[in-house]
Amino acid sequence: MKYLMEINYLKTYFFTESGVVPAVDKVSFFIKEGETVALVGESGSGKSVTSLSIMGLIDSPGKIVEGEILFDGKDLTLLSEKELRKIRGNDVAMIFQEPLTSLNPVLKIGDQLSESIILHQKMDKRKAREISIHLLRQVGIPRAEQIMESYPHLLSGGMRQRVMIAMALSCGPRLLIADEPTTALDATIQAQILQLLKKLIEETNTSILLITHDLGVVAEMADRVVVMYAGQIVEHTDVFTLFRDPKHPYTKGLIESTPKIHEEKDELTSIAGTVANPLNYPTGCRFVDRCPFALKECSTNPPHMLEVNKDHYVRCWLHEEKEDDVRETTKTT
Amino acid sequence: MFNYLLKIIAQIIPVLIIISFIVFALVFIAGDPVALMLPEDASTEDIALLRESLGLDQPFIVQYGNYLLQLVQGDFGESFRYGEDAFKLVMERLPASLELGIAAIIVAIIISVPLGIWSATKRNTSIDLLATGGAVIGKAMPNFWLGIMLILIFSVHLGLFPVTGRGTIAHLILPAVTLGTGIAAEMTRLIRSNMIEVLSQDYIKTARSKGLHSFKVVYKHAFRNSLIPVITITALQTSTLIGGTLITETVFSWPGLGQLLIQAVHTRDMAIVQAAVITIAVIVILMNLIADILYRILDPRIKYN
Amino acid sequence: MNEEQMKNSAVIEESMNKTVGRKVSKVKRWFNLLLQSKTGTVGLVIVIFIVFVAIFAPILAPYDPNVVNPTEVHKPPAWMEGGSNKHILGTDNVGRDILSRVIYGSQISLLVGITSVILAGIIGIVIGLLAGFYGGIFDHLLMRLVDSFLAVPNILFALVIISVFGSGVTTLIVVLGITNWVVYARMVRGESLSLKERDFVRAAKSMGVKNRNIIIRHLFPNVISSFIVISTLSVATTIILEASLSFLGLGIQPPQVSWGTILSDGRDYIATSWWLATFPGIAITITVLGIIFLGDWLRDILDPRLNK
Repeated sequence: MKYLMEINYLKTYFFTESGVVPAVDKVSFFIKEGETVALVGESGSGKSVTSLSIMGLIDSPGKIVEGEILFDGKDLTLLSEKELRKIRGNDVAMIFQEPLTSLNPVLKIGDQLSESIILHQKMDKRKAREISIHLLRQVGIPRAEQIMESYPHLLSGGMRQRVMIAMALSCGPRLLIADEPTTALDATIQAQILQLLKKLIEETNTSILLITHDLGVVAEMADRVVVMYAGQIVEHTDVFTLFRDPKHPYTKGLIESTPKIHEEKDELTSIAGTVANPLNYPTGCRFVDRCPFALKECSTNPPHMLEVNKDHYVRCWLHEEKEDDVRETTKTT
Repeated sequence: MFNYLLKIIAQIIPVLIIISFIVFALVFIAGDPVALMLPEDASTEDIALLRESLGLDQPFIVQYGNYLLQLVQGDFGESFRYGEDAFKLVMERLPASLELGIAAIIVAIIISVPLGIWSATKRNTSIDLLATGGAVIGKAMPNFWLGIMLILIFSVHLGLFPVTGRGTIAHLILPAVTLGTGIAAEMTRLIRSNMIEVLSQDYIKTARSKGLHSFKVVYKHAFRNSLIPVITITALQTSTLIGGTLITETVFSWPGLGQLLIQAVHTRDMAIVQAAVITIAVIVILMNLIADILYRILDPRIKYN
Repeated sequence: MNEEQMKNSAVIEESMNKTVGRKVSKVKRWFNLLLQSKTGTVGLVIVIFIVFVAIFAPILAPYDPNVVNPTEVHKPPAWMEGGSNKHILGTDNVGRDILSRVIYGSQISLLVGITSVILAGIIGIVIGLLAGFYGGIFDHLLMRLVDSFLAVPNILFALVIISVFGSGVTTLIVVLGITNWVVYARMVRGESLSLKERDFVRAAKSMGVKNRNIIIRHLFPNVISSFIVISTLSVATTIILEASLSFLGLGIQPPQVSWGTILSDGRDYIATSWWLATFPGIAITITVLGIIFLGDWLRDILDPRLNK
């Protein structure tokens, strides 16, 4: 199958006053047509920066230093700002985490919704308005005409996220980037929004890059999962394999510490320690300080991405060693 | 809306009473205006007669009461220098001052809005440094000195504008620039910091992710949001603006309220001083009120309550 | 010094006066912070320089600022044609030396600027503390008074008082002090309102500490840093206000020299002798700039809201 998007060896660094932060470091993965790929990791793991890199929205002091982002065969990193603008909101659209702050408080919903339709579809205001109302109905908003004339503060969080979804889907994107789309919502609303997203993409065959730290959401939505830690991909496989047979100690920790969906709590507290300082990552594996199975070489040599089974990739020294070596160290720790 | 207006009026009235009281008390302490109004060789009987006819022999609180009553009827007393109604004199001079003040605000907006936005979007570049540096220097420069320097350069050396007086646009430009620059300095700084805050908001990211041109993101999505504080800022500059007008009018011999007032202070023409102070206070209060109403109109989140 | 001696001396120092020891390190820390801020350093250098000039004006000034010299009128600055090294910044219409007048002008600016701000601060802090702590009708009255003062431009209020009491240095200090106090009263009131609810004040209250002692021991020290920040910047605006009033002929009166009066004299000769009005203006701008830089830096290190 053809890849809709293919990211190769992407490096997005932030050149801050206190030093260089490798927020996204040598990240490679792909998204097929109609597929939902989950990008999983804690905050600070680089998942949001990856999505902003795709959108071309990395601001100074951040910069894409290396790598390519192929969308439909075109490398987005080589495009001019003008060419990128044609893709943004049109072929690739985005939903953000905070529905409360992601809508402009002083502009009417209708105005914000029809904006990208007018821009990308070259339609007049009246036509764009009709489409907007239709979109609002599609995302399950009652009294759509009335909502068009409302300001965001009058809507609930769930309603606002529906508006955001309508906005993102307004130009029929081929890829939808959803950055923690349900994190800020109540559990029941969360489920509704996920159902809505699922329904809409099945109708339109849109691919989704779902950014989340919630494995419950992953289980519900994703076809494939990319796990990020400290700017790097540590594991990459299909969703069934990931939950059945996680290879990386970090992924294991994540799965063990995640409550089931529809539960209130979604904290990831049971992995000991905190993410290493991005200004000063360990020379070896970046997870070494928190890893219960750490070997000698883990602190000295950075591990490589290994294909342990077909289409199952892991960045970990444990899987490069022989089986008995692994057992030995597991005992000692 | 009605409750809102009631609340505002309940705030304004005590303020006006306090101001009138302070001004009246100061003038009362200053002593008899009678000595200034009569020739030096006037007899004590004449003085006593005049005092009685003016009500000056009554106790302080009664005099203040009478004064307030007159104020309510628009009677601010008579200027002894001009022999005319003080309020009428103030009103005659007001248009010239308003003309200068409005022109200065226009100058200030023309300078500060683009500069503030520009430096906010190009943070930490040389443009930003120049704008913020210019704003600090603009704040440090005394207004009247800037006026004199502008006269020196543009009138004396280049002969582009008349030195003093009022009448044509050419007369207006230098005073308006003088007065506008000082206000622009403060406004640029505030617009910049407001813009920086707005540009970091999530909805700006949303707007950019739609593929909007960065110019449209700035003027449609960001500026409207930062406009709300800017309006408040502009209104709060009214007091500074009026203070600056008083001096700028003197520098350029602009026949406005400021000149009238400063002459009145020199000659201790207290009726004019009182009328001018209360008129200016009313203007400042009205401007704050207008700003408050505009704020409510522009920000849909705020309703009258 | 070996290690033990060092330890000993440190112990002695500590036991002698704990707070002084802490203050010294605090000053050191501030000084390091100051050197990190370029504008802060520039501001401090300018302010020290102006204070130095003001204090040593009689030594630094080549002439008496008021001595007229009919043979040396309208001399341009030294670097211009017709100028001489005798009068580096030239002379005015009656032959007074501009450099000497500008040097002496710094005295009045600093004197009026600093003392009136201190006066305003004392009035404002006392009233603000009382209003914030006791609240009630007194507080209500204060807020209306603050509103009233804010509705009248500073300079206008000063003009009214001057029209009643006349002008002069003392009047000017009092006038500017009275004009500015509301700013401090409002700030101190706000801070003491929130301090009043903090645990350490509540604890003191519950232990039966007298109100007067709570205000002096707990509230006052906590409003001081905000006062320093606001008052520094306020010295800058007051210097401009003094110059403005003197320019209008309603501030400092001869023979005292103010930058505002030199400017006012120079304005009449702007077409022929530009230097009369130019140099005092530059002096004001640089002084005010230095104080603003210093004040901004002080705000960065002292503002409790930023430190949180």
